[in-house]
Amino acid sequence: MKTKRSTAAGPVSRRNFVAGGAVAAAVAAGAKASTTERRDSNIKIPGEVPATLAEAPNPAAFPMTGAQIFAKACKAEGLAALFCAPGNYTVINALASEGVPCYGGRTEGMMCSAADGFARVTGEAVAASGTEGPGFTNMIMNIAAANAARSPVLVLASNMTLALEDTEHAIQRVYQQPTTEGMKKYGKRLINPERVHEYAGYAFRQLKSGVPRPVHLDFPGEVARRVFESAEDLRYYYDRSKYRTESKPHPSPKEVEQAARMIDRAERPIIVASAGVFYSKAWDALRAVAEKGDVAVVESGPSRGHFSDSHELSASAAPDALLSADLVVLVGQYCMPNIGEFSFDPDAAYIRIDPDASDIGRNLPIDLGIVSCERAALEALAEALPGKRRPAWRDELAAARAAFDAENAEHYRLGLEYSRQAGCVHPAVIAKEVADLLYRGDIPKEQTTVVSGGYGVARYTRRRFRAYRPGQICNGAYQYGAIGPDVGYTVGVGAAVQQGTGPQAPYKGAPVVAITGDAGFAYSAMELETLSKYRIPAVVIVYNNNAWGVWRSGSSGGRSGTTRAQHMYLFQENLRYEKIGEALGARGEYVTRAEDFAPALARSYEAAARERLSTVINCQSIKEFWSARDYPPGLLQKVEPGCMAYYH
Amino acid sequence: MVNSRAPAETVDALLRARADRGVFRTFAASRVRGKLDCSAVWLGDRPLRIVFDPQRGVLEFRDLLPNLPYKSGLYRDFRKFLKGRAAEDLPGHRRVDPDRVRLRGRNRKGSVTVSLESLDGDWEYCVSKGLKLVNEVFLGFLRGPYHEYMVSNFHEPED
Repeated sequence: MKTKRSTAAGPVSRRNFVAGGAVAAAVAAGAKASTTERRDSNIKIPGEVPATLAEAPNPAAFPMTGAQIFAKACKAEGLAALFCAPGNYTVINALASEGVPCYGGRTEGMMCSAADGFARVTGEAVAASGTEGPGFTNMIMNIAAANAARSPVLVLASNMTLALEDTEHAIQRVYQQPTTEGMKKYGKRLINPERVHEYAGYAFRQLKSGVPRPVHLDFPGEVARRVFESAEDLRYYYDRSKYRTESKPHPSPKEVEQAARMIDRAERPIIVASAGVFYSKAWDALRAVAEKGDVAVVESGPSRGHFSDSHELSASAAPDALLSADLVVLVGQYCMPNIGEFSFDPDAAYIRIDPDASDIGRNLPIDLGIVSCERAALEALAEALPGKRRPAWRDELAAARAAFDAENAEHYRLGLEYSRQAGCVHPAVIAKEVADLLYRGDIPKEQTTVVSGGYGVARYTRRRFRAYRPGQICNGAYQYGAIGPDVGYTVGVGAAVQQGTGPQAPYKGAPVVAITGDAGFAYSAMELETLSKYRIPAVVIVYNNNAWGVWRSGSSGGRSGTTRAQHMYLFQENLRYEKIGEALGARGEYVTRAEDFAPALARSYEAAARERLSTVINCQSIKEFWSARDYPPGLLQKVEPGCMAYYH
Repeated sequence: MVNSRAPAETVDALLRARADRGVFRTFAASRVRGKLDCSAVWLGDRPLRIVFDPQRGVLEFRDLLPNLPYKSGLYRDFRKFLKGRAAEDLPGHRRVDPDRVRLRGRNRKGSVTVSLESLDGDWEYCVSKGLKLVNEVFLGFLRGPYHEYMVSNFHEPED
């Protein structure tokens, strides 16, 4: 055992995150485990990193550059963080000087995903930046994922000048705005330097109203580097209270009455609480509606926790109850499913509450549409709704939760058996042991924010992850289905917890836990260096089954009976991903037996809590576990909405 | 109101009501030798064929599940699932009352048809239970360990 245990108050000083007890016992139990752990002592964080992070902000004053004007506007708007790779230098340097928390990582794409992850667990507007050509185009997948998740990410990526547009002079030239067509809420190449502050207003009006999505601004050098002697040189240079409003759309009383009547008449009403509930901070109003009318609540969306899974009315882990609902109230469901994608009764009635009238009625037919800020609508409903008890509905929810728990327990039983047979770690074991550590031991169950990523392994772990407070789960593959950004998301989620931003405030400094697969890990593994450089403590669990999760698609025994294709789906076996962690300044654990996973996890969590060290736990498995014939239930399916959801 | 009509008209109206509500994305109905023969696109993109025989009082969901060999484990599980729909411990809104509807599954050369025979002439109950059952087959039962079957037969995304 080389894990250092400090007895004095460590860097995480606000509370004792690991209370000893179960974790210490698990660590002791794992002393003989077949795991490896090593950190290269030559790896050092350069002194400039902590030194410059500790420097006080140095807000600019006239004369200012365009970049400084823009940075000042961002600071005034409360831009919560910037994630970038170098490039767009004047802008990122100005944002840092103004005091916006900044993080520099290894690729622009993963820094964009870090910003996305940060937004998903805080609800705050956040920026991503890179250099103009390759840096910007490296972000495309990640911008698209943020767009699908409806994340308020401000994309900034520039360097070149307008004067030399189309000349191919020097390097890195690209038309940016057409490239992000279809994956942003608003975009603009700034042309006129005098309007730089005005366009900050355009950006934040979009980021902070209605349904959030990425905003993309690109800054030619003429704008970013132009020097303004005084405010008189700028147009539309005034306070944000003059260029945007905090006012929100409120529901009409008539529609609220109608919704209250429909809920009152229903026997088994359910609210689908999605992204809009989180972004409007409507969790208290949501609980008030649920408890007043005995209305069940199931979550969906890119983050979870706005309705606690421990509540008796929660249906997020009660998939079989969904088909019983006779009234569905979709609140802030920005990404709309089609008929048959959510598991509801064909005769169920639908109410949809959304701030965007133009989206109401899309994909799913409605019986009542209410245009409103989600929080305002839920507060009004809580007032209008008659009190009602629905004991039979509560009983049905409880029975469905118990049935789901029993199904998960059976998966675990099988997983242990399969792990022994195959000499490796089944995903059901990982899912159960992570849940036991995070929710059933000495760690407060509300504490740990989770990045729920991966593909096949996620089919098991999503079923076990629970959310007890807003922003506790970042749903990695949500909607766009990208499995690669998981470590990128972890940087953003970890930074949000380290900063204690928004709903993460009570858990400031706590470790985060991430799940990913061996395929996805490859896209973002280098960001372990970013985690280590900033001492963002994370436990990154890599499910290593030697293959892409869809390997059976290329198997002669699989669905298509293909020949000569299998090699495209496979990796070398038994790759040592934990050594990538070690090489980048993190810890590494290699787990090859089911019984070694819990101790390795406990050690890693402790290292994160006490020393702010990240760990890669490489869980060795086999691809054959996805075969329902050989290892039933194989690759699991999912039911949406609820804890398993990631399509909508 | 609908029960005052002839049975086929009643069933037609009940199904059309679902199309009008947007449950079915497309719906077409015709009369063939006294039977009501309907096609609806509902769950996924594969048209669902619904046939109602007013003489026998039977509503059929024809070829609901294709490529399902009689001796397969999936078909064995499916028969068990159908039988379980009448279980007394199911809540009323999820249960198919065997005193009102006789529920059957039929496998012909690997193509499974599900039928509901009304025993009391309550066509609304029969249609409603039939649709709920089909819904539960796809959104409940087939969400079990049948990923490959769904990919192969219903274009379920492999991702």
